[in-house]
Amino acid sequence: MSAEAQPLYDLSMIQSMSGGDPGFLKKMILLFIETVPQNVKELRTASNDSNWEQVAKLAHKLKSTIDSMGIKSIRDDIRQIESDAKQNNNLQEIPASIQKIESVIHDCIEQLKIAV
Amino acid sequence: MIREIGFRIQILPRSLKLLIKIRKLSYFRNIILSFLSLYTRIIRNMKNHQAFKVFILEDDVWYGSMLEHYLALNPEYEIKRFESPRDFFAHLHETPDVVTLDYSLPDCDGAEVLKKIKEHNPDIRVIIISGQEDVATAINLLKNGAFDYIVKDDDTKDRLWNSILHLREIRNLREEVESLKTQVGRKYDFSQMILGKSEAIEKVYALIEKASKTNITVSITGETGSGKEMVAKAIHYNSDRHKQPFVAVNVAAIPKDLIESELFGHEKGAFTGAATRRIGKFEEADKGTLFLDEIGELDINLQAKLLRALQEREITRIGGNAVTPINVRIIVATNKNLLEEVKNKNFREDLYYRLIGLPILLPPLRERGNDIIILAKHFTDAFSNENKMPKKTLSPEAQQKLIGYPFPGNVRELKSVMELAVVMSDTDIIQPEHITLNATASINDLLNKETTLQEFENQIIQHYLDKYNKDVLLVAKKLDIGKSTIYRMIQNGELKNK
Repeated sequence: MSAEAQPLYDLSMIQSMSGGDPGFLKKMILLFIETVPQNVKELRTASNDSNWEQVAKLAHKLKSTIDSMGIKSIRDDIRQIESDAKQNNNLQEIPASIQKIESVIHDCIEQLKIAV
Repeated sequence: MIREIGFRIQILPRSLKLLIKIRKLSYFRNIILSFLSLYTRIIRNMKNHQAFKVFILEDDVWYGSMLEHYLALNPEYEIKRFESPRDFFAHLHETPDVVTLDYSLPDCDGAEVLKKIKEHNPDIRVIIISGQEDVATAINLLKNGAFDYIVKDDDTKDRLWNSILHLREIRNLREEVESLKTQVGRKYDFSQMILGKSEAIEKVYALIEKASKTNITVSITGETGSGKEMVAKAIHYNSDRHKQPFVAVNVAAIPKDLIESELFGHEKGAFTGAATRRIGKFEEADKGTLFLDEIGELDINLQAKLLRALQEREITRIGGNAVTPINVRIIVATNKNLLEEVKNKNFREDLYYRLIGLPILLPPLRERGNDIIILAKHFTDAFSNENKMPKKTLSPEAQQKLIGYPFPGNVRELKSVMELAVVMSDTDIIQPEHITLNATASINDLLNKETTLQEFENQIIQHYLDKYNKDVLLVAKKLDIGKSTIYRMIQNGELKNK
């Protein structure tokens, strides 16, 4: 599921915000590498505890970060998790989705570490 | 770090530069660093006292940092980011101009935070940014005082940028309105508008000053054109109501059947022609000043309604039942002798006593001595400026001519005379011939002035001479006096035969 050839992320949105400041870009990437794994871990924990309300909240938070970093492959997945957890639908599928997200994020970070 | 210090070295006095070279003395280094941070903070504060302060409350570090950096692209914004509501509220006393608030904060309801911010200071504008797309929530928040509600998506940053630009525009406009209001207030600094140094007008200044200190009703009596509205405005703009409306009504100018609705307003359909609800002048002037000019002309039937409105401090619109409280400062003016009108049963006695308040007697222009010249000069200068003409001066003879004239139309007449004089004169000096005074008027108002019998005679003979083209014989015949009398008076300079 990791494509080394193509980047999993798309920095065009961040770039348009940066106002041409390369330091900003770098900072945002570093922040991503620093904070997102923790968020994903929290998501996993909440799911393990079947705390679906928390899962929905955390998915909601992650959603904007995933969108902003242009990680298109899991865009729909994160939204699905949020809505399922909120409406108590298809709860059994959530752990698998979270697995996918963990994996993609991990690979993404590896790519970013090289790029920075 | 050293490089940063190096940049600032140029600005520091030489003695400190030496100290910095001694890097190993960390004690000195610490003093210098704290001095530097204080110094830069002072500089930054001086430049940024107009800075637009933005607070970001967002628990997602990543998203919050992103917003922070994006907004910081604008050098006029000062951004502070907070991750917890507690931290945020601890700094709220710094009064940001705008707060961007994440609606879905952990363990805190976004709506609660909004409420707390508004309670602390309703002037702080709050923009809610949220992943929530629920319309009902958004509408609710907007009703509760949020300035804007932006959904987190690809367009968020642009929408936020624009929203803040709007806010800044509103803030700038508001400041402009405040400053303009103060300017208008200054314009009516009465020493600029009501000119004059005569004893008679100085008394009026003193009364205006007293009147502007309280809300006491003022009644101004004076001839037409003597400046009653000017005095009323002067009182208003020097009072603590100066930022509120000044509403002027000329009672004589409004037809009898319309005056009631003009003053008190009417409801829709109250009478034929009442197509919509109308706010009357009393309501328009709420919290401000209402100036009723020519109050003596008020229909006797309406006087009762006016008295009631003034005593009860409330009005009812025509055709309405609701009673509206009003808080209006009243200034009235008249050129009649109101006490006479009361005697003649044209004016209600109780209304008279209610309106008399602080009476200001505005002297007619002819009793203001040299003010005539001061005002004349002011009018000629103003007119020349307006019409982009060079300034003109008044010859001493022209000045004499003005002083001798009774000005039945007072200041208004003087203004019109002077403007015509500026136009008529070809040079930069205004001569007596440029000043057109109403000769017939001067004779009719002969008794306006009190003077000696001889002077009265002179004026009458002079009038006839002017009228009959200096034909002494004809004048002597008409007045049945000896022609030698007239010739003698011309010799003496009592009469002019030019």
